Amino acid sequence: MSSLGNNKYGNRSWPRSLTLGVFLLFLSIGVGGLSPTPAGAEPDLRQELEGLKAQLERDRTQMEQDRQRIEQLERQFQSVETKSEEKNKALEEKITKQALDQPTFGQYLDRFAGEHRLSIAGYGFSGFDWQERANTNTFSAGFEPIFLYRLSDRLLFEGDLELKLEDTETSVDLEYAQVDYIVNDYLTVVAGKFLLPFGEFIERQHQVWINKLVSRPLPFREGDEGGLLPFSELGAQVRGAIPLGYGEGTRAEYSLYMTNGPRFASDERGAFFEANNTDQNRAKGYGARIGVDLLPYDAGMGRLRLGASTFDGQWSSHNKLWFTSWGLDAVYQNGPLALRGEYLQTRRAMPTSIPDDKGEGWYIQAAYLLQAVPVPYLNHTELIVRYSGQNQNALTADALAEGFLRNPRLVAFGLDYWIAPSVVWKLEYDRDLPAKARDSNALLTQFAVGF
Amino acid sequence: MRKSQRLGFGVATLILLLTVALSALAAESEPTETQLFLRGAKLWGAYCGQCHNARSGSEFNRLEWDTLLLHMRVRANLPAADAEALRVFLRSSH
Ligand code: HEC
Repeated sequence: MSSLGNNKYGNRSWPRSLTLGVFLLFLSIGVGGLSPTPAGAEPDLRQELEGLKAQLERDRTQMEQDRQRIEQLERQFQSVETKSEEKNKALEEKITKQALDQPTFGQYLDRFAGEHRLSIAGYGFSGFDWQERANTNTFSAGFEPIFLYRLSDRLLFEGDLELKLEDTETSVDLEYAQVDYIVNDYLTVVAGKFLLPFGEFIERQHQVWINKLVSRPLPFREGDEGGLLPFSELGAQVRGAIPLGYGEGTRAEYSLYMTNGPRFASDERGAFFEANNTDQNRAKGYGARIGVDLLPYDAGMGRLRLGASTFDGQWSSHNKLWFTSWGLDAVYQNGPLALRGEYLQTRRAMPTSIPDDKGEGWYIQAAYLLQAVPVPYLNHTELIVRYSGQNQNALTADALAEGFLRNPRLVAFGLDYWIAPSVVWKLEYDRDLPAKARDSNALLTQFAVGF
Repeated sequence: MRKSQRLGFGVATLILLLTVALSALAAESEPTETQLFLRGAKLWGAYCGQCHNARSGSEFNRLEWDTLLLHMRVRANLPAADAEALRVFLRSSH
């Protein structure tokens, strides 16, 4: 107490502290009365707290469960993923294996081509011509694709596009476009534009990789080059063969056809043939060829084929004037030797008072392959000689001016080097007979490929 | 019937009979694949070098030969049975 009594305010301070204590008491009561949690509500609060705790606990377990569920789902998903990955991999492997099982792209193409059955054949050439008479000295080239579309074992479409370089431009000619239908063993029907089955040269020898010489026999020059027959005609044809039965390789063959018929560039005598794509008159042209292979292969006497042909039709658009023609052809082959020959006559009736326009032509050709010579290169070399001639009793004024002759004769000597059965390099020397003093020689060379 | 009509009728009947007889002959025996192959090889020598140098079987694949032989059958007027033997022979080398 002394300390208190020693206080500067010692003796007089107690009633003040009493007042403060009472004030504080009241204040505390007052504040207590104001407080939301009066000292009496404490158990409720705890309960609530417990409730909240429990809720929190429930939420936590729920969350835990959810988390576990999610984890499980994730695991499942992953396993599905890996499974599908595995599956994909397996599938990929399968596909690669399948792809590898079709070893080449070429075979795939074959399969494609097989389904569609389209083959492209044809030929091309490049060459150089030096001709004294015609005064040519030029490079030349040509390309002729052939589209073969086999629709079934009986039905074939064949189309041949001839792409030619002319003096100053390139021309396209549809050489043939025909549908062939095999009706039975002995009869095939052909419709469209086809090569004239007259003799051998037009249908079977004029192709550059087949023709052993660069030039053509005089009567078989094409169109305005001066020959005696049209090369192709529009119409329908029946053809076929019958085995002769007395040995392998003997047969008789025939081709019978009806076409739009012959058409000439003008009514003038000596006029050249022209395409008759839309028939200029109601009359049709008719033709036929029969041929025989006489020697049995086993007899070992070589191969001999003979044929006879005709092609006739009214040519005039206003008169019933006929063009008629007939021809004979023969081939004999024995080993390295091949002999060929053809002869034909044509007659074009002219209006009364004008003499008929007559033509005659032939060629004989011998070829010998030096296959027996055991010298490299030489055994791929073939020697050829051909004599051809043509007689016409009339030529147009234009043709005469261009230097065509009424009775040309031509000897051609050829030297072929065969790189493959359908790849050849040809060299040819031509001499016109009867020789005129100056303008009778020609040198031709050609590289030809059949594919 | 006019005389020419009768003649035409006669010729037509004859052709028909001939065709039937020939078909009957052809149907007589079915050769085996080996027989066809051997015949084809021989006929290749007989026919395929007649117009151009003979082309060898290995130059084209089987499907191409089907098409090319159809082409040759028409162009060269090959007898049907010969064409079939040739096809078997030429296809075999690819
Ligand atoms: C009667 C003559 C002749 C005989 C026989 C012949 N061919 Fe051809 N061959 C031709 C002609 C013509 C061509 C060129 C076709 C064209 O360019 O229009 C040709 C073309 C071909 C071609 C080139 C692709 C094509 O179709 O143009 C092949 C390959 C061919 N012949 C194979 C043969 C085979 C194999 C034989 C034997 C069955 C054969 N030839 C018999 C005349 C013949």
